[in-house]
Amino acid sequence: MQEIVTIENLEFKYLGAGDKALRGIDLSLERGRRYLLVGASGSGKTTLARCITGLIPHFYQGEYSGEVVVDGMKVSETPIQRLAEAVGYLRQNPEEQVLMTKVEREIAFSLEFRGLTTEEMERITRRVMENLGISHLWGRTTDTLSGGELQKVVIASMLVLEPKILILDEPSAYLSPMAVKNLQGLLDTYIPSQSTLLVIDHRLDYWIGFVDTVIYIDRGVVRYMGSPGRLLNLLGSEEHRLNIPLHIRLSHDLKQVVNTRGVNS
Amino acid sequence: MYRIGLEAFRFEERDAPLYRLDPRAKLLVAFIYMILTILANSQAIQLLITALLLATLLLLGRLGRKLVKNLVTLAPLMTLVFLANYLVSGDLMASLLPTQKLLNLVMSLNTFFLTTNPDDFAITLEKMGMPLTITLAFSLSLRFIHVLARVLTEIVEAQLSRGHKLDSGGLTTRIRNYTAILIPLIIISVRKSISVAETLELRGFREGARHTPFTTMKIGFWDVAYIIVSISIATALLIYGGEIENILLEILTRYLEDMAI
Amino acid sequence: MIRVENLWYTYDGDNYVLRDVSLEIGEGEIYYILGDNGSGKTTLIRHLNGLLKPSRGRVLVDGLDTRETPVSRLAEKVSIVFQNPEKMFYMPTVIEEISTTLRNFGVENPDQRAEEILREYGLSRYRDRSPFTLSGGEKRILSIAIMTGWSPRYLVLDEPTIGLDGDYRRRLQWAIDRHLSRGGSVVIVTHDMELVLEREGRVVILSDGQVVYRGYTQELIDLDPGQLGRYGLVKPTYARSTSYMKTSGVIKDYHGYCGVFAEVAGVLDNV
Repeated sequence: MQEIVTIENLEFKYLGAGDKALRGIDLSLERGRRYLLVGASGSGKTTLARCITGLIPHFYQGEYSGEVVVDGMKVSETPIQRLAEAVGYLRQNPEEQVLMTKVEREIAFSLEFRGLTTEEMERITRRVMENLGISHLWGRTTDTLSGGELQKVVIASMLVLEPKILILDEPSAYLSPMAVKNLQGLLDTYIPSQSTLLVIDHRLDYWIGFVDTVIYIDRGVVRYMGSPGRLLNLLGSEEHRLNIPLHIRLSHDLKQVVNTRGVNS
Repeated sequence: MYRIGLEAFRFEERDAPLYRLDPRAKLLVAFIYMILTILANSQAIQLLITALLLATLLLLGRLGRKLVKNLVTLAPLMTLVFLANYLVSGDLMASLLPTQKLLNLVMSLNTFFLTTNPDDFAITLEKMGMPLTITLAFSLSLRFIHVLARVLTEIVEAQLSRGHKLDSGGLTTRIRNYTAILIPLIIISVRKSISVAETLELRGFREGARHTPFTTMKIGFWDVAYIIVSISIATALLIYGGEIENILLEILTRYLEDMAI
Repeated sequence: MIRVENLWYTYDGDNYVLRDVSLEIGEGEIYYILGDNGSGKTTLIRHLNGLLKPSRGRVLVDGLDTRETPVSRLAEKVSIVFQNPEKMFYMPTVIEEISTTLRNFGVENPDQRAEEILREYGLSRYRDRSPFTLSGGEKRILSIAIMTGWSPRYLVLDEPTIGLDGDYRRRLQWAIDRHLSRGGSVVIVTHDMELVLEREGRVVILSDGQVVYRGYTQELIDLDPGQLGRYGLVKPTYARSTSYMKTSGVIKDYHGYCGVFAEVAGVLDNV
């Protein structure tokens, strides 16, 4: 099976909310590909991620219809804990995702509920830490780490379960541009090529060269899914609420000058 | 200063013998010292306990600077205890004893809390039979007290920047100023706790789930030695307390006399 | 004018997070403070309205020494909009959130002024909503509306573009222009190079608590990407293409986005 995630006619409305957060979403994500999910704030990006991880409908209640299948499991019928074995989900603020004080316990946390022996857990943890080049952090406390180190620890804590799809929610919100570049290098090197990557970010300029496919959603509807280059052309011609890199904006603005001049003369 | 100083009570990693001991051994010894402190009603013995605790914290824990910060933070409280006793009893020496007891209790707890990683403490509790939900809640709260202390500082800064004067004005102004701090604090705390709950779900935690803590905690030679030495000292003090007190007093008097000459 | 003179600062008495920082922020100027996470940017701006007092050196705001002046008096001149707007909200409605701050600074007719501010910033339809129920971008714009209400002389924005989409980015630019057009100064702490390159201004880069670069945005486009990388910054494609346009003579000098646009459009017109 090529698809890791298939979403059919998904609609969701949060409990007590006025409008639907997602409306008639149909899309599928393939194994081993990299996706960028863009959209203005409040357009439903995080809601969509929650639907893939199972936080919706299991953690956040509301009106849910349609179907989401992740790695052959129907999300609405599978507990989050089971889905977590296939989906790794990194949210904006690493501080709220770190549960333990010791680095190695933080990384091993998800393993502690899987009936493994201490030796097996230690072996997996050591291997993942070695792969990410953070073996020297064994024994350190999580609150003394630098931003970049903490980032690696949080990623390591996802990788111990060998997720088939990794979702990063707004990584640029707390990282400097250089740190985003380093993160991309890390993902290039350490994420297995058969894994799927879904990056949610409103900074097109940071990610556009890194992904295969861009998904653009606006007000809960998928407006575009395809190659990054075509999206940029599309955005020059229609109304949108996205952040356009300055050089693209300049070329669009200049094109307009040429066009109007063409009409005048 | 509006900055909130919790640093003096916070665990920080360090390479020292006391940090490497098993939390259970440290907890037991801390209890022994606390019981001793509560039982001993002599200033000389209390002084001896202070000396022992100081030796433990300084030599085994290398906690000099931290301890100074810790005690400076607690100094107002100790002064208050001393003054209250003095006002009631009018006896200078007798008022010293409760203050000494407070000091020793704090230092006993320090031998455990300043040197034990909250994770290890949680595991200690779990091994003693506490349910995972409770031990996890405990270690998470310890972590988040510091996060919230920082949030609180940032809220105070934001409100000062928009012209709130936090320590002046009449009663209504003050109440308004406190709501300006409390409301964002409450909302942000609730947000953060939902976020942590979300993380727990995503990381596979479920109430009542089977749990194998990942740790290499073992009672070793030094743990046993630490316990035995402490128990010996405690027993000696309990049995020969009177004699030891006399010897101590004698040394003290002689020392004071030397000083006088 | 804000003068920061040989400023050193330490939180714990040991490690200096600011080391010998000096700068001058003049009237009507836009001043960018760039640098990696943890380079001391936010510690620096907390000195500008006296939230932090220098361990060594001094900070003068229009001649007032921050060590001797209460924060409330300094805050009237220097308005800081922090990164997370939620940390400042506490009133039940948006309109009260604005008027309460106007009252703090003794603005006349605060209720009427608050209504005007609401209109100017396009927030009228949220008038009676709780600020906490607004979207991220709306919260940010509201926090700027609150913090400019009494016309402070200096506006300090801490990472204003984080989490901001295109729509709100344009409104942020509008708010910056508006403050500048009234003769105010703007200080922006950011690592968003595209925001910096949109207009002309002065630039200072901090690294490890020290000033490692001083200059103007027009010089920034020619800076070596490797050098920027060491300070946590990435040179955007836009900077590379404008730098190329300059060396190849398409544009004479860099004067912000509008300048480039005007010059290139002019060249196209002459073709």
